[in-house]
Amino acid sequence: MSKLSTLLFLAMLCCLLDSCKLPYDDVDLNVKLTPEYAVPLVETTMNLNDLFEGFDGNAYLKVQSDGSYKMFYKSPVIETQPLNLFASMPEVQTIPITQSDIALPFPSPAGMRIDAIDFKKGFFKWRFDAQTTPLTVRISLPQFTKNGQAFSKTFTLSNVAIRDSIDLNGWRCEPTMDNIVISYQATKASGEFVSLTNQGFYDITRFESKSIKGYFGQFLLGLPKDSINFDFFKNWRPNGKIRFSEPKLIFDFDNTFGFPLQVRTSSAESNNQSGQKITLQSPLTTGVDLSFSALNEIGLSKLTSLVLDSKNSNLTDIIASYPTVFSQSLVVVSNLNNSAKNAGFLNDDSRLKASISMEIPLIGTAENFTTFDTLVLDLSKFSEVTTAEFKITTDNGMPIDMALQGYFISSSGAIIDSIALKEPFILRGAPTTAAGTTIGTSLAYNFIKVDAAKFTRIRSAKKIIMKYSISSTNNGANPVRFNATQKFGVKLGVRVGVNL
Amino acid sequence: MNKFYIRFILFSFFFSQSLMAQQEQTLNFATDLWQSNLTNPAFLPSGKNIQISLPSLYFNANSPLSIRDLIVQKNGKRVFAPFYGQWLDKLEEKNYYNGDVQMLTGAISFPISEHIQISGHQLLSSSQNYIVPRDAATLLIRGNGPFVGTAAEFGTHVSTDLRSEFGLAITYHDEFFSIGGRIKSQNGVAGIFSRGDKLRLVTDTSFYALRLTTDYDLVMFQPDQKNLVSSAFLNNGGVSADFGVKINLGKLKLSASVLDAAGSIHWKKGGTTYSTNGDVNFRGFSKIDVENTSFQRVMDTVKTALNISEYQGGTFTQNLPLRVYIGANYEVTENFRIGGLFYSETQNEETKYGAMANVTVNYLKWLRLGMTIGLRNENKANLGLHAGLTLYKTAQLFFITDNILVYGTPFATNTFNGRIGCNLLFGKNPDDKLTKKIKSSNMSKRYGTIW
Repeated sequence: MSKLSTLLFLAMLCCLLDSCKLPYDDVDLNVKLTPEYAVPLVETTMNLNDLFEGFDGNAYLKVQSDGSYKMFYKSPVIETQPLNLFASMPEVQTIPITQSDIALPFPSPAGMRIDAIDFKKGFFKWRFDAQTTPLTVRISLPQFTKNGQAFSKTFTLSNVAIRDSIDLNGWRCEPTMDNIVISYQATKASGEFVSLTNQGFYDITRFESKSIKGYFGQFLLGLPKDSINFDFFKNWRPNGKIRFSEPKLIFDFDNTFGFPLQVRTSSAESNNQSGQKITLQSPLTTGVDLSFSALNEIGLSKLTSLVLDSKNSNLTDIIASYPTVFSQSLVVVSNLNNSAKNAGFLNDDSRLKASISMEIPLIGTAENFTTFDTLVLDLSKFSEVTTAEFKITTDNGMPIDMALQGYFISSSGAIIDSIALKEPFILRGAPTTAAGTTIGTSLAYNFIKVDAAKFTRIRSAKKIIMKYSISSTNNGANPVRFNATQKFGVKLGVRVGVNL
Repeated sequence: MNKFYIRFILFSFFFSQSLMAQQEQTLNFATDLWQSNLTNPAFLPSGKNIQISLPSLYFNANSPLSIRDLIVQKNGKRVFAPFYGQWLDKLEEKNYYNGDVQMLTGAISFPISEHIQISGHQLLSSSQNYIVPRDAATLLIRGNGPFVGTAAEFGTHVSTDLRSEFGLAITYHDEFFSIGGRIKSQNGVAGIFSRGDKLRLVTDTSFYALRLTTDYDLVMFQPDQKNLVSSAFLNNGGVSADFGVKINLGKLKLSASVLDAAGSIHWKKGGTTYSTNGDVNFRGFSKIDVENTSFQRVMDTVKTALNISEYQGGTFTQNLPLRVYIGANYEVTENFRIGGLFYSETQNEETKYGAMANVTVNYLKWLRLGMTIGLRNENKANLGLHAGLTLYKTAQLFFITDNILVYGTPFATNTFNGRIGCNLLFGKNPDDKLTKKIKSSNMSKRYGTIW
């Protein structure tokens, strides 16, 4: 019994020892978990206004009353410098009293005729020496009036010299034959006239006018050089076509000068990516007369709007050249055709303001119109991700097909890889009527796969260049129209394989 | 989720396989041990009437996975790689992990009169119960990719605790029957419990929009580090009671017991509650922002959508499982005994059943060996062993397991069970007196024979 027990015990022990032998050769606790997560990234619906949010500040989109869109590019307002006819006048002009009536020459600038000046600033001063016998002195400026009354001042001159002045603000001067008359009359108590020749002087400080009436002759007014930048065409490449049906270039002039002005271009041309320049041909080449206020409209401004389109200019050709910038210099000539030398006015705040805008109704055709956008990329933020499959669901209510391709760019600028290996993926445009109005939407699903090998390749990319190739529905065969009701819905989800 | 937490949860998951337990059944047949009194307070240990139990350990495991399930073939080698997730396919829709680790720090049993024996014990135990949906494990290992177009139900039932227990038992016995009862004072030291099980994630097919429906709380109780004594014995109290009876019909002995009747622990101190309740749709961002999008940003946004609130506090009532043993033993000879046992365990309105047959041989005067074969719910039949070795009539070494085969193939099994320890025996042998009384009473004449 005891031998049997011993054998049984040994057998059990062998069994136990054998059972303690590990059933594996190696242990791998560091293997990374490789779950796959399916998460939504974006769900959004955009219209053209949303798409335009990323454009530079001088471009905007406006919905018209019929729901259609117009794209506007607007340049900053430019204006003429203020005109000061008396800038060259000395600070103080001293006139010795040589006689009781002095005709002070007051010549108009060359080619002009000053009929009246309304002063805003300036002083007329006088000084008379002391007299042993008290005198009554009266100074008068018959051409200086205020509320219909000519200027005159009476004072007593005795053993103390007299120094006095008058503020010209609010006074009007109407020179006669380019002269201003200054008179004095000195009398004793007995009524006897006394001459004060060489016993005093007058000072006239430099004055400024609020308004001048007269004829101002022909002169040139310069407007600063101006330009419009077209972001839309900035990244254009010459391998596609886009044509807008009714572009317009609009010049708006705001004139507060009170005499005839004519504006013309001294230079106006567009420039595109390839360096091609096209000179604008329009009525501005020869000159356009601007509206101005009559003498009874002092202080009002007159607007003149000049619309250039395909009928009166070569604007359509300019737009068709995909300009990146349109620049022009304008000059203004006064009284060009005013042979009668009719009187006008010039205020201290008279200006000519000009604003130039481009108006492009979103009606037209596009055929493989290609543009690019560069985005900064930092895939180090996706260090856990090994694979990704993007699922893009688009519900396109806009009448454009869009082909997308993206290129991953290294820090040295080299192309590492592309999003789509062969063909770019296509977002089909909404179907349209023959007139280009959309009917319904176009629903599409696209997948972009980034496998582990590709992720390894593109992980060092610093930028991604997105290439958009746009064609209007039916591959540009008919013009299409954009309006505010058209939406572009995007749902983007991703299945990512990650290492945790 | 932070990858550390994912690994931690998974590792806890695997590690718990070797610790989780089910209530042992074989112990009910080892009636010479004081520890059998834990399964029926009417049991009096045979041998000497004073027993002191030295620290002993009880452990058990019950998991749908074995170590072997975590091994993969890689480059011609067998690699233990639990994070590969190859074991996911072996999981059922719902997977039960439950058990105990129990350290009996000490027990004493002694008579206070001819018919009355009292005993007391103290133990530390950790119970862990998880009901893990396959979807939860799949989400952790494989993400929600496999669930596109379907719903993932990942509400996991969690009930894990560390608690201390004092027990005081009294047993009345005579030659015909014995009856006993035990009152147990429970104290929760630390625990994590879930409330509600709704965690539902639906991933749609069009662009993987997520819909998360939740109604789930996790309440965590931590001991007060500054007052460990209070945390160990006083903070989260509870009471439970055991009752048992044993009828002595000569060679036939019938027994029945109910354990942890109306037992519960009220957790109220040191709690932190994490709660999520809502119906959230996450449909991505409203703008395409390539330059500011990262995987972490997306995951953070999804996490925010979970809207998990955290607050200090929270209570939880932990119902202890109600266990019932009904057994019968028959002495074929003085040294050969056979028996049978029916067992049930009820918790959270769910009842599990078990049955076991036993053969016990007093191999030598100092060695008792027993074999059991048991069935438990849908598990395969387990072969159990109980062995007692008495040295110098005073030191009683014992080892008990419900599944002896696991020791031959420990890496292929998903159940693991054992109790090991030592008792010291003193005093008289009550059996001598009892045996004489039984023999002199000529019971077979009074009651007839069973068969």
